[in-house]
Amino acid sequence: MKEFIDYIENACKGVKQTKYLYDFKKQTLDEMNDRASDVRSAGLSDNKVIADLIISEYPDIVGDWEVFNVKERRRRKEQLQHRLLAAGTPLLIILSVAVYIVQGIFSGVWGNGRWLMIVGTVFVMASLCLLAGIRKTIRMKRIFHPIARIMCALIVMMAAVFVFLFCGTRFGWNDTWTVLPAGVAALLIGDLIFAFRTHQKFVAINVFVYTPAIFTMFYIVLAALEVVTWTRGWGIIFLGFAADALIGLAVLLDNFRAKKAEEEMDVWQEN
Amino acid sequence: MARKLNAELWDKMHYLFRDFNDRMVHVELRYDFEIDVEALKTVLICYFEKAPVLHSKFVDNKLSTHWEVCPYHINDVLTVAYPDDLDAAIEEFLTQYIPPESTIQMKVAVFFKDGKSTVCIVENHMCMDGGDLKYFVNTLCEDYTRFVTEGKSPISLRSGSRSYEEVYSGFSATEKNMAKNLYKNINQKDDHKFPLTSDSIADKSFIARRKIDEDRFMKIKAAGKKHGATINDVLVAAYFYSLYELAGYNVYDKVAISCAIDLRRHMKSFENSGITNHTAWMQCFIPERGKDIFQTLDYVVASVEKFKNDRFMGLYGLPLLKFGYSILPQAASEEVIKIGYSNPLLAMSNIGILQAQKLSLCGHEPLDAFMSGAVKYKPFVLLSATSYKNVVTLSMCVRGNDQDRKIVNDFFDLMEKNLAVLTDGVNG
Repeated sequence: MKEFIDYIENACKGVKQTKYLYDFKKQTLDEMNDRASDVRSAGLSDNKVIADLIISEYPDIVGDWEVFNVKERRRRKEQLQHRLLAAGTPLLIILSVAVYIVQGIFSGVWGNGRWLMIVGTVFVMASLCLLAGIRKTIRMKRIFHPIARIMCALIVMMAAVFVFLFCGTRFGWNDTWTVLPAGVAALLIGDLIFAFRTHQKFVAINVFVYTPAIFTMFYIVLAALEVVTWTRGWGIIFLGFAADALIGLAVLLDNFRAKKAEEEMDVWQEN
Repeated sequence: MARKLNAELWDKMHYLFRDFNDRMVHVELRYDFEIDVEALKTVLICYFEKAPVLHSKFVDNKLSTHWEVCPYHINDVLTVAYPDDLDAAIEEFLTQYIPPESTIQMKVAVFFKDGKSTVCIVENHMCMDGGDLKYFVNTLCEDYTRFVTEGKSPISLRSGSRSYEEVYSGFSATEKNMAKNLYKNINQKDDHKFPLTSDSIADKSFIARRKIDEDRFMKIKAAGKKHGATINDVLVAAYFYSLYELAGYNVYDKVAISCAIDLRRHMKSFENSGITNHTAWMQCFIPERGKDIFQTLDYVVASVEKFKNDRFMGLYGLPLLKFGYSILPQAASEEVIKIGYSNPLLAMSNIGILQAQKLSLCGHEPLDAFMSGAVKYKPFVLLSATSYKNVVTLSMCVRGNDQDRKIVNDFFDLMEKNLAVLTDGVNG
């Protein structure tokens, strides 16, 4: 309908021309025409009323354009990233295998952790794919957020496994296994950060469960590295429970303060 | 793919009430001229487009619920008829039931007889409550007039969020936080029933009405003023007193009537709200019947004062319901909520004043106007009250038999008698 075209063109007069503006106008016009045919099929035939009704459903074209622009830019950026990942992942893995073979042929050294370049490439590319997945998942409903949390954990553990392999093969440290409990601690801390940043429900329960676990991992790592002794260092685990108690106390005090404010409000109302 | 709308908290609650009532809200407007049906069709289509929930079906897949917007034709919504027996046609239309799975949730009829028109509307309470239906009808009349007389497009109906959380919009951050933590359910169970007959498969829905004339209405106002009571308080007192007489409750029994309260009182503006439900129940208790209706009225005033002073009136239990529906699948949450929620056996809804000016079509004010709540299933009852041009209409929608109709009419007789005692006591 001509009214829709005029309305969109007039509303977008002051808008800066970008390559997405045409797409926005076309999409909006198509939506308006679809709505008009819906309304016609419901039995409305007065074109002026149809135009006014549909236009009233788009009161802020410039605002809609700004949202569209941001979304479109993000969509295109993500599309590019996905294409790069899809094409780049196998290419880089093949490249890393080729580099490994070539260096093996020329240097005659196949071991000594040189294969880590292949593992490292696989881990990095897998982590980038998972990051893209996390970005997509956290924009979905909360019910899907646990999937993002699992992907976060996978990234942390892949990093820990790589450090473990790297230290073990390159430096031959006996205590490289300590990287794995340190990785578990990092995983739990990462999950807590994720939970806080995305305002997950019942995050306090996560804190209560994770805190002693994180302290236990620290105890294992510090004792293995002989920073503390195995016999006395277990006090660190108790520190975890003490931290839990302190957090619990802080939550209680916060609730008490809120309750007091409520009572004060009641007293004020009675007065 | 079909467009989906969120099933809001009150939509789900009214869906849960399917065991207690038919969830239909009724409107009847009588005019002294013949309405332009084509113009009304135009207005209705615009309103259905502005409020897509009206042409949506409610989908319950046991895990979750939502509305699915459906295509429709205005002829499915609007019925036009020329009945010989107008009252029978109105009664038949108003007592119909629209299932939530229907693709339209509101039906309108225009009955023409002797150069006059009667507009009847039936809608699913899951879509909106009496407060928003009153707004809907007022705006419809206003838009119809402007469309017919000035050719202006009828698009004034507001649209926006249907969320129950809009009731918190008028609160400060602290108050909002407090209101969102009102988990306790303050309504208590009361087993006093309206003395209707037992359920029968032959029962049919009916709407019993009784008008209280202008003269009596003015006297009620005066009586209320003398006792520091509102008209609503006086009606509730008469409801209590008449019930004690009709049902033969022990005069020392504590009885509760749940009164519908409009939660919009907590909202600052409605501009961004779509049509929805914002109604909760508050229990009005009297400790005993009292020696006369004046004492009953004093008890009612005291009880109402108690909850009127509450900043968060009507907001108790909402966070608990929200929590229940959020953490469990639909089927499980319904079972859990049913355990904690007791539907009031005795209820009253004062829909309030229907303004003649706002309901006028092209300068023709309605000859009569009436609104009522859902048809309740026995033993639940709801007394609705509306006033139009200083005439109060009491109504009770019941699924019952002729004996039940007689019992309800006897109840209205007692209401009238007790209101007369109350008002004549003032005058005399």
